[in-house]
Amino acid sequence: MTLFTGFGGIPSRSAAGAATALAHVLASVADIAEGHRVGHGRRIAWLALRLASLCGVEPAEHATLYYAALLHDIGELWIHTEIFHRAGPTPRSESIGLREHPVIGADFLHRLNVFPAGVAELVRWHHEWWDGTGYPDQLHWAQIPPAAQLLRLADTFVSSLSDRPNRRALPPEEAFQEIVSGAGRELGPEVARTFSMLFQADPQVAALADPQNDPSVASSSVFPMEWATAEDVKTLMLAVADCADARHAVLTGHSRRTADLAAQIAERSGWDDNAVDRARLVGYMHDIGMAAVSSAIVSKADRLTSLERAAMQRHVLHGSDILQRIPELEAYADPVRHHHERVDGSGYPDALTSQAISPFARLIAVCDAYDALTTGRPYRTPLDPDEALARIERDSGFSFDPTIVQVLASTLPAVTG
Amino acid sequence: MSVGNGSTIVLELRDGRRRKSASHLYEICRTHGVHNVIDPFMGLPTHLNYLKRKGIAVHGADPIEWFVRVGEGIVVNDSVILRDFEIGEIVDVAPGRIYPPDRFRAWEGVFFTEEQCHYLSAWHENVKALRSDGQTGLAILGLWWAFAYWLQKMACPDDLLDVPPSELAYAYIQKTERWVGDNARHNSVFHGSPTEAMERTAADAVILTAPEMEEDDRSDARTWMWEAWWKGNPYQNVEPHVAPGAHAADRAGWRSAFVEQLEVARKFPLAIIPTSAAERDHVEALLREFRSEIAEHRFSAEEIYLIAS
Repeated sequence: MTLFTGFGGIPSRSAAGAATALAHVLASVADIAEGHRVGHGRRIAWLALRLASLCGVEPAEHATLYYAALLHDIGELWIHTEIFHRAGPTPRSESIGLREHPVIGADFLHRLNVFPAGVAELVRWHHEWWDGTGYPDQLHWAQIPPAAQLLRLADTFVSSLSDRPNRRALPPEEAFQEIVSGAGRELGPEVARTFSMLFQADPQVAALADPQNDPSVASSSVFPMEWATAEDVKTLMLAVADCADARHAVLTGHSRRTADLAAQIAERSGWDDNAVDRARLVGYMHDIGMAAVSSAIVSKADRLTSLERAAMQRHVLHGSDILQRIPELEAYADPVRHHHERVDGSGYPDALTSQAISPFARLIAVCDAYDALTTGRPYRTPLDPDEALARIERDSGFSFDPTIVQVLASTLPAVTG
Repeated sequence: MSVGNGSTIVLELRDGRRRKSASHLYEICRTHGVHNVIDPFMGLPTHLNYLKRKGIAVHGADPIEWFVRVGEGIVVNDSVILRDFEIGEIVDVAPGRIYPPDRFRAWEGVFFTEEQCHYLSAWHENVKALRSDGQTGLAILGLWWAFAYWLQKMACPDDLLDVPPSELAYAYIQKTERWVGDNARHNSVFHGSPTEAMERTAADAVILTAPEMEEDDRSDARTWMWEAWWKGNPYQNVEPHVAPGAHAADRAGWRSAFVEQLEVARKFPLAIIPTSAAERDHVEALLREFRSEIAEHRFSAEEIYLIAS
């Protein structure tokens, strides 16, 4: 079996299409982790590229800027903080930790090695300020590459158009004034001047604040990753799994393990290669919505309140919402949305029963539960494989698909050795 | 310098393209197991502050005094910050206090307005009155950013907002709090020659900045003006204090200046030399006369580090 026939279950004719789709998943995970709506990175990319054209940035660098803008805050996934979900001032210790996110993001992208080298560099420097008071490297003036200055400006403008827990969204005109007042301090004067001209000449810039007329929507496929190989697609799939788990230390490795187990069960069940690949991909992506859930909830050792439980359960909606927006992965929105459905109708979010739940969702439900039981959670210690299997078998036919549970039982000796 | 609108002289602000990224230096230190590092040409020591916050013991030196004072604020100082009321006492002209009215009059109408010169004078007096070395360093750093903003504003008058001087300085000094932290190590700065600093300090590695090849052999005007401010003498000529060999107009001068540094730096097991693609081969050729093994960390054409052991 070739592992990534058809690019690992992604219905794309080329590795470029599959890789681009996965890059957009990564971007969306970073968006929701920071409390933004999906598309935040894309809006920043759109604005940065408009400015790049006006500032004379070489067209060859546009793809680099595009992916840097999409993924600029990917490092925040590894900052275990409540900053993005809490109103009020940020404690100093947390704001210091947050200042590491450009370096963490750049290291992550550098290790992935699937984007142009300049992407990691721009991500590293997207919080450098013109006057030298930014971070992490305190670069100043022309030491900051022009593309990084554009990214800084676009990030500042687009972010100020969004509601955050500790402040309201600014109207476009006020956000524009913030940019003007940041010239010479946060932003290079030339870049700020160019933005000023663009803002006044093009009403589409102000329209970035309007979800209904967001001008960046059409630009999401402007820069396909033409350089990507099948190996890059595989790397990006694993990156999606890692990013899905990154915000919560207790989930480390969960998506990879769930995906591997799902693929083994699918194989033993006699599914064809393509279906096995798709099962693995659902496993990688099933928890991408967890990035939006507060780590205070995920790491809570006590019983969740009804509000907290509702917030936790929304992760399936966040995940499916992300995938619905990406044509190549649209088909996976359904199994991701329904991987917490139970065959007796007691699951969420739609209380589906039995055959109304897609086979992939039923498969992931079993694998997800098995991994959760065997790796432990803040509220209970891990079970050994036999105990976990017994617990799942007890719920077979009620919560879980009995056929899949049966295959799990026969698969486990091979898995656990 | 060029003459701007009216009679004010606009400084030509140098690009300062040479890059010495703190986070990249940290990566190198981590890769090579460096726990204790000295930068005898530290300049503005924000990179040493970054390494310090990562747990590395750092030592810096510079012949320019204000760099060293800033080092006392963000490298040596582990805990002292400037509280809001203390910042207010630095940035405002204290009522009833008599300030020398014409200390910086030489710059009036040339680089700065009358009001700005008054503030520079008041800030100078207020900072000199601080008793804590750490607070002094933080205040100098915050005021340096305000000063640099003014020069930038002079160069781009239409692009930058007019911010009241005390407000600008207040905001910048307040920002210095984020630079204060403790790494439970002994960190130091030294005001004097780089050679002497290397001789008196023990470390795993030295960050050795090769002399810059420059046609006009000038240092950054902002640097010497701020040194003049700190010294309270607008006529101060900083060139004698610039590190010997920090700039070279020809390759022979460059070589002789760099050889002296490399000779003294032999005592350090590792030498980290930031350079660029344009200078890399010259630096490596000379380095081979002193060190047998040379590795390269290339982050971009403007930012290459040769690691010599």
